[in-house]
Amino acid sequence: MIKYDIRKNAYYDSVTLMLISKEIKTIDGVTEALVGMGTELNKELTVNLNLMTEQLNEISANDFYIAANVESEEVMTVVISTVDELLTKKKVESGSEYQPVSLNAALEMQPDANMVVVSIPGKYAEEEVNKLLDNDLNVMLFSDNVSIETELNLKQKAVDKGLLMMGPDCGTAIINGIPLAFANVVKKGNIGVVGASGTGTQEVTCLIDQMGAGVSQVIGTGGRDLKSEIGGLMMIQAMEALMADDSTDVIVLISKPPAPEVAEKILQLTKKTDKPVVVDFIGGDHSIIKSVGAYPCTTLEDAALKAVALSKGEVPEDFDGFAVENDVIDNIVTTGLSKMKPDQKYLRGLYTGGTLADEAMKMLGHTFGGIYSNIPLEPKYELKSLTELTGHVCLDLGEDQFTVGRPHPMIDPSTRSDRFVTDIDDEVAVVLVDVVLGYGSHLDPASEVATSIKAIRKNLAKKDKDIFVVASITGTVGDPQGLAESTQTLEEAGIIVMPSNAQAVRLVKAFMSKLSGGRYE
Amino acid sequence: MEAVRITDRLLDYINSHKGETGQIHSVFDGSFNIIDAEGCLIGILSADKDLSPLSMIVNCQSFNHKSIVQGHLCEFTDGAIHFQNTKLKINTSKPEVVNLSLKHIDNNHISIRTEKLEDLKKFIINEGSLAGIAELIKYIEIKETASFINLKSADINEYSDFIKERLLELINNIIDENLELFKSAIQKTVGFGPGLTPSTDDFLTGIIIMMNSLNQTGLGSMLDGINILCAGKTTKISEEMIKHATKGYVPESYKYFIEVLLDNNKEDIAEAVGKVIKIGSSSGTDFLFGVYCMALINSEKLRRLENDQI
Repeated sequence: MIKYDIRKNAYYDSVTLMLISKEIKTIDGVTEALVGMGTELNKELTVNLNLMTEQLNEISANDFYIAANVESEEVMTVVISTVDELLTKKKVESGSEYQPVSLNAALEMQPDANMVVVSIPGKYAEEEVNKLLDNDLNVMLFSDNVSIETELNLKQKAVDKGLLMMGPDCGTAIINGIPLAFANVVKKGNIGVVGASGTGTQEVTCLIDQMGAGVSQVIGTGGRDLKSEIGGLMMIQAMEALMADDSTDVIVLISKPPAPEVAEKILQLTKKTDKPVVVDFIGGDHSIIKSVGAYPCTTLEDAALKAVALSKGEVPEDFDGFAVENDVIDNIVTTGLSKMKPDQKYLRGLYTGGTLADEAMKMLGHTFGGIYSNIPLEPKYELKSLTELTGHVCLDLGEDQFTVGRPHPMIDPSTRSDRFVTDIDDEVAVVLVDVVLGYGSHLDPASEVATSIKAIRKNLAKKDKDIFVVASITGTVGDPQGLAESTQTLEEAGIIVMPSNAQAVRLVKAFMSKLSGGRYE
Repeated sequence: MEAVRITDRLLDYINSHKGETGQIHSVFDGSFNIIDAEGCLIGILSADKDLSPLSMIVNCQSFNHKSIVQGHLCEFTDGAIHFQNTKLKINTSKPEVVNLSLKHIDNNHISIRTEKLEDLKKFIINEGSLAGIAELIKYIEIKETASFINLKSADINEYSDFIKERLLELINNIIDENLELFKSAIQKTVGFGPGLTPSTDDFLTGIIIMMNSLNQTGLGSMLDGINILCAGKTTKISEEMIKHATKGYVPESYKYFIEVLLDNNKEDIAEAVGKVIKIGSSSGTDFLFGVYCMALINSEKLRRLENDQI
């Protein structure tokens, strides 16, 4: 039956309209749907799609309407409630209950606030953050496009005043148990984390939670903090805070390899505390870390394991294996290989988390003869074209070239859904993905991945082919999306879910080695 | 609330409409519109929005606000807009004043370099949002006439599929400089596609802006009355966008892009294209598609003129 929902003189922004259009077409019992403004030509398209009823004549160019072919009245009710939910969600997310029109008004309304999250266009951030620091407020600066000179000035001011200035481009933090921006529901505990990488920090804190431990504070620094220009000002500030914090017994530092002089400064600081310090300078040199008595790590998972062991007073050990017996892994690999055709040989890593993509490429190294990427390990593996992929490819879909005009793929997974369609061709054997849960992320990213993989498998089945899909979930049982529910959703789509990004990558490495007849071993 | 940046046209408007009232027409998360008794639409924008021809940017990030409600009245006064029923006012006494008119290119024979247009096409395909009608750029060929290549076997979205023939008709009427058929084609094209400004309107805006900027004999006169043809056939917001475009006024990022595109001393269009693509869901991309088509039409016309002279 054809049903309509018409909203007179209703205007919604285009991004919301697109989201609505996409969502309602996926509702069970909807066979066709059109969402739009009631212009003459849109109405003509409605007729062409066989969605015509008399109600169409009631609609004018300034009316928003949904026309849908639905199985029943009940399905249309679901359609309308889904639309309302998406529209309401948009308003709630923007905080419609309380919207002070200026910083001063906000401070007057919340005189006891001691931390402010700033998320405004980068070019305006300096002025606002300066005002906040002048008011002795700690800052989490979510905005990007802030110059490194501005970052240095703001951080120097914060350090002089004993304040935190997390960022710019700081995507995650948990302060006194409160998750800020992209963050997970992590148990309280005695491990303090300082991270210069967003999803890297999320992966470590989630694994800490899954291992039964918890965090005292999670402090972000922004990705450039350990560059020479900034000198690790905020990592040092955060470390000193955790060193003095009675509820922190173990400190974890996460960053891409810092500038050597910055690494030296930070590692020297670890000597000034009796608290054990676990350091994951992802892919960086371990010897210098060991030389100051800190604990180096091979992966983000290894960092979490060592931190948890130390938090319990145990001796940490390196971990580079699997959580299950090797014969289980062998069985997974053998089963997967039995479905491969001779022309299937390539890897596609489609990541929403940049640090996780980076970790994957570093772990796989040159075993495949090089992995092409938009964030390559070496310039020669920079992808020349994002539309014509060849060879092994690992993408960070959160980078600017994929997010222009659309939200980050952790918020709107359609970027990755589109890439599944375009990037997985007949020669692809393995797909490696991350699924990031938590506040700020999409409400059900696992279903989005599962839906895409099911569609790909359906097409491949026509050619008597299949693919080997491996995922890891960065999340906790307390996250709104649910860790167990997300795992089940992926597994029901035939996706192998590993306990961490590191183990997912190891499984892929084992599979690719066998696939190539040992050439990659 | 303070106006931080304002267009010269809006400032003139406020100064000449003191004591008059308007009504809140539509409210979005990052902007809202006021409509006056003559149907003129004024945009009030947050800082991350693109300044449009009759708009101002204020020091407020979100307008999902109990004080800003569709249908509420406001009054233009000396140095401020006062909103009735609330204490809210926008102070307009000290903003930066911005001119968004596009200059005509004096040289009637300006030709945009082929490489630049190829770059534009690549950006649209690789980085644009193709959810509207811009995916047709992959198949369009504009020479002496416009046609689609390999489109029959292509898997295109429902919007592109619906509008493809009419779009071709519109472009061919521009190539032929057939005013009557062009106006007829406009009426058969305007107001179609997803979004608040339907995709074809963004495309038409690109076409119109290029006609205006290139200032070629024959093309400029084709713009007369376009806004009247579009009235009632699309959303109010879109109508206003087209009206401003016919007069040579465009949003700030569009202006910057057109200036870079037409400046033969500037080769890299990436930054300017990036700013445009960010507009709306697919609006920026559909606008660029229109610009691309009109630029090709122009290049082809100049090539024919040169050949005739030889």
